[in-house]
Amino acid sequence: MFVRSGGGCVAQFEQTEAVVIREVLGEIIELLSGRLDYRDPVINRFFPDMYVNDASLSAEMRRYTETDLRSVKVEQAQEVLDCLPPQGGRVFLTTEQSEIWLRALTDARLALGARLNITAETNIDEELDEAVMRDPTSPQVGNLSVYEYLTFLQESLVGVLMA
Amino acid sequence: MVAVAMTARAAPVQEVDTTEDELVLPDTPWVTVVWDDPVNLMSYVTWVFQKLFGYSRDKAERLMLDVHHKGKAVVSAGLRERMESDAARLHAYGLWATVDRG
Repeated sequence: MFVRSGGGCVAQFEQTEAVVIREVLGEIIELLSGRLDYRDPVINRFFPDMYVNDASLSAEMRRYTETDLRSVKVEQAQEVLDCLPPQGGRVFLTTEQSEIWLRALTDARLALGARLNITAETNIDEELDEAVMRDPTSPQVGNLSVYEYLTFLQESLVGVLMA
Repeated sequence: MVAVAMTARAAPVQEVDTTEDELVLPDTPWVTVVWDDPVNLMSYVTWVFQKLFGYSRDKAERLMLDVHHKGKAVVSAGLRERMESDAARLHAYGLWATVDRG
């Protein structure tokens, strides 16, 4: 987890942790690099409607904002990939980098949340327990575990920035 | 929104701050609304409000709690173009924001 260090912060990553973080963000970059499919719940969540009751106005706004928003998301995911070695290790972040990581981790959790169909009623621990009982090797167990890990990681990073 | 009990945090300030921070909406034509979502951390949302709008920690936290408990909250008010810009910036931080008449 992240802790303060000098003017920024530091965290130690196991190889397994680095691998999963890099995998999720790599998938996001790939998802954002092609043509955006708004039927995909992840894309829908990344580029939400700006006008709740006006689909065509929302679509028009999206045309204006989509390119920039897409670039920002790709850049912030790439920043994490550039900072985090695949084998893990100690990572130092400046305040600016911390804020970029924070947004990238948000995207990672949003993407996983969309894939996992997380709702206000979801209890992650219970879901994980049930998924493990059904099939410990299932992708759902993997996704839930990663989601939970990223939640704690992000919380620690917010904690550093808010201190 | 999600809360993670990881570290001991200072208790919320008890005094009511009546100075700067009430969002007064007399004849402001448009507003930016942030909606609750099941993924974003309460602490992160608070941080975003401070970062993007320059709100105090207290005000940002109150707004976040409004979003959390009421399902949505107005986070800024003003001209339409400005609200669209605010909403776009909030989207860049992964929040779900919309624009509406004030």
